[in-house]
Amino acid sequence: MRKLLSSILFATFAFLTLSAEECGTIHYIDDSGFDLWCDEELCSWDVEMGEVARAPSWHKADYSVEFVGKEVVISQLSTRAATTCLRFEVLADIDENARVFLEMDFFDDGVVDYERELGHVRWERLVHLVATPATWDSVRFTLRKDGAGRARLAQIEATADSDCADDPLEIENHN
Amino acid sequence: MNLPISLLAAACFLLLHSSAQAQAPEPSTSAVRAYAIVVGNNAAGPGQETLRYAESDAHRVLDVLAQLGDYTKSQSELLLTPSPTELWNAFETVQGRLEEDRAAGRESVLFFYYSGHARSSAIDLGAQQISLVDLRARIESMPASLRVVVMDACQSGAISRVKGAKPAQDFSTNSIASLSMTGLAIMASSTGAELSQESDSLKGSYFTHHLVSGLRGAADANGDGAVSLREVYDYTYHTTLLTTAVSAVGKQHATLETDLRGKGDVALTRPSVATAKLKLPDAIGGAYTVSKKRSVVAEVNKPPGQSTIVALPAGRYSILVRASSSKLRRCSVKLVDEKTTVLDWGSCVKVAALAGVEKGDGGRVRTIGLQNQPLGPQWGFEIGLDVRGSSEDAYTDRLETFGYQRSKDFFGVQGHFQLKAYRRLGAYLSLGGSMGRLQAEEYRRRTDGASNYDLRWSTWHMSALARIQKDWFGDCLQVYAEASVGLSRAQSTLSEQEMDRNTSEIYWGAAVSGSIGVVLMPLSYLGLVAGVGYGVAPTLSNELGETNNGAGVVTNFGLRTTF
Repeated sequence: MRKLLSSILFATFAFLTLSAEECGTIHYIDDSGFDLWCDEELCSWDVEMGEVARAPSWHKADYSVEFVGKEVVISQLSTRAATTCLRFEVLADIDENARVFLEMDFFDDGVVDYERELGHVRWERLVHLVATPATWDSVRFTLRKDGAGRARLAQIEATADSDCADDPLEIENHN
Repeated sequence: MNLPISLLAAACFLLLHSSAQAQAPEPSTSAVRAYAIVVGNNAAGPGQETLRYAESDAHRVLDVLAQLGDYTKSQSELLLTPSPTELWNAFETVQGRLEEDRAAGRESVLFFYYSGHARSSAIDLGAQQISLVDLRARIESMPASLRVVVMDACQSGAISRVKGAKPAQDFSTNSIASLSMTGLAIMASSTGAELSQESDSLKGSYFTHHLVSGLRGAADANGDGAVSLREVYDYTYHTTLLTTAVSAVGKQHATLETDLRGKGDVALTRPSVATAKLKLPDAIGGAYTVSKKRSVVAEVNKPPGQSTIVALPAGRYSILVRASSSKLRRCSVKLVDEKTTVLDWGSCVKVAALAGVEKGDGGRVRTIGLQNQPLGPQWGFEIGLDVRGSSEDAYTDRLETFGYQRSKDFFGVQGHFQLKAYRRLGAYLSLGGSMGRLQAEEYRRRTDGASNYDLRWSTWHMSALARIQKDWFGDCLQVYAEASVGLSRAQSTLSEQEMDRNTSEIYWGAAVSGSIGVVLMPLSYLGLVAGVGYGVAPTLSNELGETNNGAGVVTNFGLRTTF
């Protein structure tokens, strides 16, 4: 009876621990679904250049954000707790006439520390694992579009991960 | 509704019995000239109703005589609703030919047939009459070696009373043993006191129908390939009596009067051998009525256990069977040349009913039993549960890409009710419709930090179906293959939880499916259905143009009721 009770208590503890870990996942990007719109502007993102618009994704009521025009730049600063590995995910619909880049600027000092092109896909989920610098306290995520083609993004997320195989990013000293 | 008589003319009918072949009677040869005067008179006299089939009966008789006898149409006179003058003129014409034959030393046969209204003392040619005394005298005056008279009219047996002869009550008591090649034989459709009847179902009179069937071979009792006067009378007497026995108008007793000299028998027709044959089921005894395009071409009575093969021209036939077990069924069969086709009793469905018009004074229509009211299960309804797997296709793959997961999943299957209604059009074919839900799905997207969405959709269809079926053990077991084509309608609703926003959309598309199955009918009106099939209903689609199948592999179980 005592053994059974111990087993039940252990199982309950394990469940709660795992649930807490899931619930405690740190999201480095707000409004990951591009769902929060302030009139015709994204509430959580800074549109630094060009224009964005709400657009359908797989369903006309499950929205994505469309980068309108030849040059568009949006960014968002995250000051959440640092991690050694960032998992960046996004659903993308980028045609051959557009190029979209993901940029990360640790410490938000205006220097782009990480840049990757997302590639040409038709609503597929893209994943990038980024081994962060050894120390950092903030990061600015920037999405930049070049070209007149179609570029739409949805469900952008950046979370802490542990699967980064690369060495940490080398960045310039920051004061 | 009269159909081309050529159908009958084309029907070369031979009844092959398993019994040993007897020696054929002496048929008329080229040395014997055969002439026919065939009269069909639909016209009604005072107080009578116009007949519908007397003229077509005349056509049928002349066709069978020309086809299976030696009565060429060039040597025959076909008179349709003639005046007395026209009838007498026909006798004059034929008499001239008979006299030429007599002068040339050739023997001759005269066949006189009359179908129409009559009274106890005269035949009615519209408003005019010819007395039976005059008619008989004119026939007797014809210089033919043998005169065969067939009268299909009410009280037609009275023509025998003219001479004082008593109509035979039954062939078994008739002095047919003395029949020979010369003299006079008069066959009448009824006694001097009876009414003769037409049948809408047969599209002719009962008597002539059986007479023609007999001449085409059904009366060939000894299986020698020739039908004698003795045989056709015996056959026609009994079949007419049996058929009319159930009528409200009353029984008809065919009569035969003979005044013949010499030996032998008179062969009226010699059914030729056809290449396509129909084998009737040995175990099923009863009356088989064979028709083509709604015209009866033959009728066969056989006892259970007898092997009977009917030879007919190749083609598709409908066969009405009044089985010994009192079951009335309709079968469909296609005969092909150089092949004996076995009638599949299991493919027959229950049916029938007939109506009669008297050929006598009244001519009233009376319903007498067997017609146009299906007795067997013609309509069927099924309610079933379709069990099918949850769909996996480009549409659902895209949902998963976007983070949606199926929220209602019962071991990967789902069940939906289906309704089917159909009408059986023949032994093998049913047409109808079906409707029901093909699919119902619910997907959710739950993410930490993003909006939560619920997506629900269901797909319905309404289709026309065609079913090909085959029965075994009567109606107890049926195997079917079914195809359906129709419309499908899908409705989806995407709900955004945080925003309390619902977006509904309706899609229309086509639904196509096919299935095979089996039906068990332990009761005549209720049974069980089970089947398996596959369907496609690409109705619901996303912004990328990817569609959800909506159907897929399905297994169904249900109940069937028929009436």
